[in-house]
Amino acid sequence: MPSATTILQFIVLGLLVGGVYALMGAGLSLLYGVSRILNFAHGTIFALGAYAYYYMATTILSPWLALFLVVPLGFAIGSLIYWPLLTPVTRGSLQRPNDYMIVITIALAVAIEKGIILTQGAETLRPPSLIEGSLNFAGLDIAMDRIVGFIGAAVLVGLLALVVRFTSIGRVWRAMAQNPLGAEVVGIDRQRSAWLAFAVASALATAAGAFLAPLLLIYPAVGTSAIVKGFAIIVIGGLGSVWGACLGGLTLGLVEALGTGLFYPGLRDVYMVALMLLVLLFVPNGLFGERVRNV
Amino acid sequence: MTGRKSLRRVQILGFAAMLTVGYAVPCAFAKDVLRVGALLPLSAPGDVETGKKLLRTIELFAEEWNKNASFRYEVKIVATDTQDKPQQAATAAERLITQDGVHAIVGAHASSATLAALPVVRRYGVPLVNASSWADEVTSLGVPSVFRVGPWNSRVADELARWITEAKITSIGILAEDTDYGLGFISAFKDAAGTQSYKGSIVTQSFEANATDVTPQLIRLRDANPRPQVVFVSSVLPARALAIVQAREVGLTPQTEIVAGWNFPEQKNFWDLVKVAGRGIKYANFSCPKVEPTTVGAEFNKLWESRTAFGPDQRVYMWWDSMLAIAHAAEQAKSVKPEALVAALAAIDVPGTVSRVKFESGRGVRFHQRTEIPVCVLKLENVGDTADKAVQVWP
Repeated sequence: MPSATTILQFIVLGLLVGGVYALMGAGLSLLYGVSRILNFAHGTIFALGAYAYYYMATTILSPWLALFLVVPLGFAIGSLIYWPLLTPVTRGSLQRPNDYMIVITIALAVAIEKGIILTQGAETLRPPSLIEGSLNFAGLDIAMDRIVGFIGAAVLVGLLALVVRFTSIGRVWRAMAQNPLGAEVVGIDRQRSAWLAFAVASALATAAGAFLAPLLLIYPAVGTSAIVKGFAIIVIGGLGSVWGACLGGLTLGLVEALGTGLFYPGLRDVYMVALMLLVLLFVPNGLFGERVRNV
Repeated sequence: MTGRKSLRRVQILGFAAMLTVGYAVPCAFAKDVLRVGALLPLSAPGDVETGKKLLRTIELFAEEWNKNASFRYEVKIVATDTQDKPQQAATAAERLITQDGVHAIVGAHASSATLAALPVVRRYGVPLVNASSWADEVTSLGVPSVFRVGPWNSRVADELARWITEAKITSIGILAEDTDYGLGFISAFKDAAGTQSYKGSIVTQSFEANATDVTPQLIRLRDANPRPQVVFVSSVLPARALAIVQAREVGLTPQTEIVAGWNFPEQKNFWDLVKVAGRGIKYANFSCPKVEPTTVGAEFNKLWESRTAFGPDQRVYMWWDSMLAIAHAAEQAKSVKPEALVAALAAIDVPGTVSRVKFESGRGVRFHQRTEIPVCVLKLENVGDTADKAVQVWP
């Protein structure tokens, strides 16, 4: 049986990585809540964030500056993707918008991954750390990058929550989540609100990529597992709920760390699937299911 | 009129003669083609870095071989991407045989990919020469047309077990990917340790092939009682670098030594990936500083260094030898028919880069297995050290 210190270390590691998972899930969830778009390219946008951080941090900028620039870059990437490709979904001009949305976002994910391979190569890369070394306290060894990633994710999710709660765009998003038709009737621009949600979700994904990049080596397919985790998080937390995504991310990180640490370590994905099944069985709408219409 | 007809007849005959000569002369000098299919990881999630290097190796072999006018066959390479995935490898092997009409196959790289291709080559009887898949099953399954020039898990495990026994190491950890290669190594090492009467502890941890974090496994190794003195990392996936980096993060190293997967520390991006965490890394190798290179090996080294920007590594040697085996087999058989090539490969005995290339006909893992392969343990003392600075730790 592992010692109390070891179990504590698994818990801390799980929560820290869960915080960054939450950042991934919050973007996906916001987007679905506001525009009903399930973005299958969210993982590759995460990968773009990791690559952008790597190239900026190893060429002309310091890692910290690169980290700060990744967020507006993600916003710009999201805008560039949304306007030409996803407006037909929110414009209501398609007979089968959901089919289009699934096909176009999957195609986009494949195209981005192949684009990374063609332009950057398929080699594994290691981005520089934000803060080198580990923090050692109470017998625990925690990489400083994990702590920075968690704090950064918490700040961004907190900012998102403030925006949703206290700003005019937040009110628009909540209105769109509660009653899209009613929101349009009172003059809310559906396209604009969906674009902002997509761009913000993309910014959060690129930020998550940048936070995790120094911890996980990067390669073109690094977004594949990220998107799987992203969807698992919104299933666990409840579709369309930012707070649900936060709880889902933290829960997933914790379950994965404790499962691999205390039980069989080679079943990380199985623990994730088991958690999803349990949630679907006992709380079918997710942990924050009741608030699914409230963002 | 008659004269004009005669002239026309002469013109036609002359034209026909020109055509005949034009066709026959090149045919008299044209070589028959030996088409060799290659199963390689050329895109993610496969080990692309290695895949590109191996493709360069066999292309270089074809260039050099085809320069020699005395050979009957011209070697042509048909490369295909497996992504190191089993299903992809099986499909690629089928396509190479049925659509590209290859006479022999080299590869695959990952054990799981090679094992998936075996039923295909068994069905068509096409020879497959493997160079870099370690799973014992590649040869122990006894597929008549399958040969291996490279090492195998239980052989490497035997040598490593001898090393730890002689070095009086009493606690071992193994961190392995959950593939035929990784799990096969755990099993082979436990067997080998038993054979060597190793009395110490062996703690094993595995991780999923797509793992992006192995800290839980490393923490369990760190907190094992007794703590491992040495941890073998058995992986060809991106996680092999992650394991070294995260071992330092969780405080497993430097107190515990890491023995990395075979040629990984010799790859050009090794230090970029692991940085200071790689200091003092050990690894098993088949290019041993204390073993004199063969004549073929020395010539190959010169050629490789003159044509590429980086030094050769073990996989490159083995893939070169797999091409040597196939090309010489075709020359000796004077045929590229599968059955003739298989018979010639079974009897082949030619000099290779690290030893002679010849295959045993024994049972089990030694069936169609090249066995004369030197094994040693090397160490890179300092950050940035390249293979030529490696210190031979054992034997």
